[in-house]
Amino acid sequence: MNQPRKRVIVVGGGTAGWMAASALARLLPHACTVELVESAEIGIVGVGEATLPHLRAFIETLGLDEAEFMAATHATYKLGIEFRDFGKPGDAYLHPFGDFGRPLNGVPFLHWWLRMHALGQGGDIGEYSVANVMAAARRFAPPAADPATLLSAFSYAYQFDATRFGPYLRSFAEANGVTRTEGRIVSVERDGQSGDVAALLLESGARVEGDLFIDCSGFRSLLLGDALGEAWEDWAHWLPCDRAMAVPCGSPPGEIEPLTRATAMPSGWRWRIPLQHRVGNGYVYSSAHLSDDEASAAILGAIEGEALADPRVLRFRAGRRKRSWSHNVVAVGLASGFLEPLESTSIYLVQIAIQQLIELFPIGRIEDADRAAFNDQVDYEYDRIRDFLILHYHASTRDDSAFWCEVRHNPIPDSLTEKIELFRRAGQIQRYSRGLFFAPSWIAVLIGQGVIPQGWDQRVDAADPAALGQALDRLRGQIVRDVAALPGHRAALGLA
Amino acid sequence: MSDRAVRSVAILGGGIVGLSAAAAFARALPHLVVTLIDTPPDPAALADRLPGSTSAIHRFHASIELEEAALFRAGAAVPRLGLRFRNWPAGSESWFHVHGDHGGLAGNVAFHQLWARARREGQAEAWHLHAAAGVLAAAGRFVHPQPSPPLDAFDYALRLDPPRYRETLAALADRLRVTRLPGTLAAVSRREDGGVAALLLADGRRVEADLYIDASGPAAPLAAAVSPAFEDWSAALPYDRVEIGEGPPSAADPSDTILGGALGWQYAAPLPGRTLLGRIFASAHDDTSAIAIRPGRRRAPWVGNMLTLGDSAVALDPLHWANLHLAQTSIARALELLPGRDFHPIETAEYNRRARLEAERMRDFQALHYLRASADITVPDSLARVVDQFARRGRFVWQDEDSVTEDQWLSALIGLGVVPQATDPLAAAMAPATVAAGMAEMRKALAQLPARVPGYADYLARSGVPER
Repeated sequence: MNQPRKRVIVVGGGTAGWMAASALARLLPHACTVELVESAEIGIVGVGEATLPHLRAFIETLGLDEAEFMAATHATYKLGIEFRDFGKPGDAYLHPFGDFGRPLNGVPFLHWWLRMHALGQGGDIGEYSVANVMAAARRFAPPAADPATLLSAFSYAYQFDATRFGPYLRSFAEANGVTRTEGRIVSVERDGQSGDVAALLLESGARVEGDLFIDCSGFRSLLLGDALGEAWEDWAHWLPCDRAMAVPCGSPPGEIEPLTRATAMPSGWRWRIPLQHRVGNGYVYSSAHLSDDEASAAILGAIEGEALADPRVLRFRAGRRKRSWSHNVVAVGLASGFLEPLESTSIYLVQIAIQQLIELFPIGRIEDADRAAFNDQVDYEYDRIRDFLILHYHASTRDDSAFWCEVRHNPIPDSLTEKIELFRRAGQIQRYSRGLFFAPSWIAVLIGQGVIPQGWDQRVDAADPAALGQALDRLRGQIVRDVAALPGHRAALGLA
Repeated sequence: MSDRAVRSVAILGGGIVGLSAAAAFARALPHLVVTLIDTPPDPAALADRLPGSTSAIHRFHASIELEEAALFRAGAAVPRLGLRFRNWPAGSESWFHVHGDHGGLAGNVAFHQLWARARREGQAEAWHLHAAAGVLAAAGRFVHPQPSPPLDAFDYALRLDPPRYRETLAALADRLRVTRLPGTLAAVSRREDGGVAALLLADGRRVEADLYIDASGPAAPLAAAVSPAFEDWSAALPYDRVEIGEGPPSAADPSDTILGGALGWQYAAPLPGRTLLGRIFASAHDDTSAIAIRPGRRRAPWVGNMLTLGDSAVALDPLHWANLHLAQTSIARALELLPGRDFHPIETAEYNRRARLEAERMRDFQALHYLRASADITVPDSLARVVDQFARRGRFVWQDEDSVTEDQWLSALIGLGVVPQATDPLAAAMAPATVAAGMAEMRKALAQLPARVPGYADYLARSGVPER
């Protein structure tokens, strides 16, 4: 007990940097001091305008006020991601933050629906999801507390202006004792014996020493990649998109959609993220199939309002560093790896790294076992998300562009082949207890992209189809009635 | 019914595991034709013979609609709160392993971190005294969980009278249209593709089905023929002999007693009118005709149209009553993942994946106890990680498909003396004085429980449990 406090140096003042600094300063005040080094000359990527529901836990754990946070970042509510034209042109489905129906007699709802679907009845599975129905009606209210009610069976996330999230957290972090040092890092000094990072040398000549360095330097991966030379595991053969052309535009009149939209494009896909004051747009594409100019023209042609800035290009590669924690450097966010924002996972991955770091924060010296445990967790998350993203490209029948012909025929990881085949045959989803993307997510994307199971749980076979059909009709009707009573999205946000 | 549905199942083994499977399949799948070959009991089939279960048994009973009250009235089961560990590790004070919450919510901080800090400073009572079930177990009292705190956050298991429990299951199976055929297996008829074509019985009868389940015990003639590969765990689990017996009645007790020792361990499970006893040890000290076990698991419990359950799928000694527990969770998993009639390897692979993870975790849970008893074992890496993380910093290492709850893990780790050596940095942010006050209040509330709750013997009498 009463170990000296670790000097934590956070490198980079983007979203990841300020999230890490805020969390460490707030939650581990007895274990560390936090200094954040950033250079105002270096821009931030501002990833993740769209988030996942887990961010709510981060906000709550830090003791931030949700309403204040939402106002500061011009945030809207998000009930899921709508995918258009992925399975084939004209398709649309929502990957909701919530369940489809509810289990009957201990058997997951999917199987009851599959039985009716095989008879040509039961309608679209989205009709049994509160989040889907609410999103389509552009209404919103937080989930009901009583788990017995239908209106409890969903979750929500935020869509926000990521460039405002960092500054918002900065004031919180500084109030919690984080010191900020302005300056460009010119070199990294390593300990001759251990190989640990000993200090950062700034352009000003200042030397910043630390015990633990959190690399939030973005794609540059200044410490983990450059200084320590941690190997890169490349996934571009699975996920070939390597550019994004981003451009904000004005909001259309009318109700704000409480969802993020991803629409397939000839050489990738584009996002549409409605905020309170504007709409974020971007075309994620493969530079082997589309030039930057073509991408720029395409996104400008697709947006629904007046462009508020010139399109800006971002360059990236899918993959991750072999280890996110090496020596005394922990990479968080883009410095650790990148997966395209198809499922809004960027900020989630930042959050998971911070959460694991807090759980494994060094007591005394850094133990190999703790580093290994951290890296195992990061791998567990990355591998799962990777497979889920590849599924969106693989489960498609599009043959209308060179890009789609290529991606849908690319080899996929064995782990994904097994998941798809298990679902196709039996309607079963490989079960896991933690991390991202449980059964409802897989069901949404698989069924949404046309993978309809041939079989189902045999316990539903005994049900009388007429009675089952009536039960499903009642459920759908109840969801529609419950949602109709909720306020519109703008009203829920307190906007006129 | 879909054209992929399994239409019939033949189950080999007339013990508790076979009857449990028959009842569960018949209850869940009303169209299924269920035939059970009521083979003579195998003395080495521990899951059929031991008195113990875990709190997971309630879920199983709910699935087959077997009422607990009826089991009590039939004298087939009584409630059990915990396990009283004595002399384990050697020389230690006795402690109680119970189901359910220990401690209360403390924001982002796990309660055991706060307890461990207080304990290191000599300021905390035993871990089990921070659980409602632990307090009741120590006081010899019992009540079912109640809707309001602090009696809402604990669980219990059942202590079985194996022959009567078997009779209850047999009666249920009969009501559920299970055909029971007394007989023994003479041969397995195989298809060209390796699948099972029929079971040939000694009396000449031939039993055909879509699916065959071997629940006959560790010898498992059907499983041994179809899926012979076995993974040996004897390096991690030191004991390979079990002696089962019965003794005179002892005082009514909501806990079983587990007595550790240098050469093995013993259990005592008191039932009305008698005490069920057992001794678990290594063959080097074998001077009796004890049951031989070979700890390990069958690599592929489900191959084609053959599934094996019970001691033939996972062979463990009786510690924590893992045998029947795993058999029943496996039955539930088999129903959840029941493949189509072609038993495609993709479908059986998911069952086998989950079964493996669950079994390995149970092996580690048992091995933890032997590690702390200084037995000469090879500690699996997965267990070494659990112990290292918990001992150094109180971090619990979870794993997918663990059917041992986190509460049970913490209870065992702490009871066995693996107390975190350092305070987790997150917990360090909570002021010791505030924590001490909260813990004192909690202990006070829990200490008042025994006076409000019936004695165990009274509770049994009220529930209509027969004297013998």
